Amino acid sequence: MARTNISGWLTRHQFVLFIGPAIAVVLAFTAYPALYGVVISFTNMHFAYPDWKFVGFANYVHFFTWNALPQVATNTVVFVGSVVVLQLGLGLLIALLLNRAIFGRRLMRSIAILPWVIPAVIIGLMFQQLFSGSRLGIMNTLIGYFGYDSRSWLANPSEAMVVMILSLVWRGVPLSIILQLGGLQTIGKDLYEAAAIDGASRWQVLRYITIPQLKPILLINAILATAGTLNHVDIPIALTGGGPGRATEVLALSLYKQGFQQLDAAYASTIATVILVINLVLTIAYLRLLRSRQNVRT
Amino acid sequence: MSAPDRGAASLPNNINRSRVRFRAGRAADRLITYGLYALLSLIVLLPLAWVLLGSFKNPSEIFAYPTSFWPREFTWTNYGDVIRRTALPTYLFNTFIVTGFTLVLSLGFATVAAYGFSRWDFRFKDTILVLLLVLQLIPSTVNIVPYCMMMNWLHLLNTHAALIIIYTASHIPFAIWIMKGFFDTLPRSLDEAAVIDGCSMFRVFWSIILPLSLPGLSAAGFLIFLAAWGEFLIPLVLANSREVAVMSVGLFSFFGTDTTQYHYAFAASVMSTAPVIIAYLAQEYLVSGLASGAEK
Repeated sequence: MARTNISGWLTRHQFVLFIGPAIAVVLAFTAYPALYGVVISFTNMHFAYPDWKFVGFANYVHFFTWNALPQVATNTVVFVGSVVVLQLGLGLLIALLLNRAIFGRRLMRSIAILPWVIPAVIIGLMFQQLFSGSRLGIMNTLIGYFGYDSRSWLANPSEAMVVMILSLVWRGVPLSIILQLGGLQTIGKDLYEAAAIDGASRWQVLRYITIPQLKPILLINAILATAGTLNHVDIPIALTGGGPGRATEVLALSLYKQGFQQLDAAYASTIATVILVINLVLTIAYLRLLRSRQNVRT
Repeated sequence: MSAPDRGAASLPNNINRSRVRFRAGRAADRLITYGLYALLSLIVLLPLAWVLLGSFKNPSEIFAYPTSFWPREFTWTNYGDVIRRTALPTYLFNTFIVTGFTLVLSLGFATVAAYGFSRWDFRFKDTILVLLLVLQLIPSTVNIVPYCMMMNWLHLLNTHAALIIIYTASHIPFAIWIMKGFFDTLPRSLDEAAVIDGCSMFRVFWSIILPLSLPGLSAAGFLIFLAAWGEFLIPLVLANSREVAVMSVGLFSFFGTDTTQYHYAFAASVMSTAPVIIAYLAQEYLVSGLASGAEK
């Protein structure tokens, strides 16, 4: 009896058989851990000890009074801010270059997007080589040609940060190119024709047509780049490990170090929850933008 | 003379003048564009060429000063040594297994679900789709501590299964979005005709819709392949013993820390990156360009 009810219901709601399995897997292994992580942040769980209890907001108090927080927060803002600005700016410049009807642009596009497919850990190790402090590093060789002395790059706090930013930009610009090139192609030709008849200068075209028309894509790009950089931990682990000292330790790397070097699962989860909240804000902004774009289109 | 007349007379003149200026500017324009193309190529390709050329240098040459960019003589010894003396073949095999299972499972779950989303209308459909997008945006960094505990409960720490399960779950949402977009372009009347002829919906999906969706599958598959092949944090935490280590963990743990083995590291990096570069070139030039959809 109950059986026929269920099968009858499923015949009428056949879509459940199609979407059910995927939804179950996704909920179990993305939504559940995210929520469970928030729960862990209210406990004193530790990877080395089996016992635990709820401790209320103790971890959050600890986090916001953490003596390394000012430096980590500053690093994170400098890191994310520089990467996002450079990615957007260079992405726009290169997208404009690739948007011209000119021989060789297809090949050029393939080259420009290439860094995006290379595994992050290899990029980290590669930049470590390029900026190696020994005189054998390629950067030291290059500046040697111009008569400069070898530098120790990654051993110097501010230079290490610059190298880390450069490596993320090298890897992230292709995403901006893909997004913005797509955006550029949707701008109506008639706008440019009208501007040409009016005798607009190239700067005016960029300032008053291209950028305003591209604004929604630029905003989406900014949000995706911010989230992508904030959450990114592969290159910091492989390139500097946060050093020298804490000079390149960003929030995502603190999470990794607290969780898997100090084994403090609860504290790592506290940092994770802070990152999650920032992500949620970014996601809401992202969804709003997507929706308003769809409204404009239809 | 009336004002409109003057306007009409000056208009062609104006266009002519701007065209002349346009042409003169055009040659200089191209020169600048190609100059910037060259600079961009240099920035992208120089670091990669450094690693590629380094992998063909004799170990003695890698450590010689002054540094040479082009190898004095090309040699395959580094590759032979890496294959025979290090665990890289195992790491690559492990990566291949994990990536392969992830591809099959996530595309399997996602295409079936995408078909459901595309072919039926039901309550909360849009909400569920948006929710999937939100879940997609939860980064693995945030979930890494709970993942570690969950895999401990399931006794899956240091197994490939742990990686496959997590990768699959995190790639399903965007694969659903891509595939649903693709299915939506195929008319529902196609299915209805087949159902009238006596096909079940599963049969319709398998024999009619799926074969028509190969371009969509290859695009989604390529993105999943890229992500799974290069994933680093999750395997670093969940599967870091030598026997199960994937390429990224192997390179980091057993090459990255030992800087005296540059010659191994170069060859190992090239071998680990070759599959994604080959897949990328195939996707760009054989299947369909990633950004080329927007180009038309």
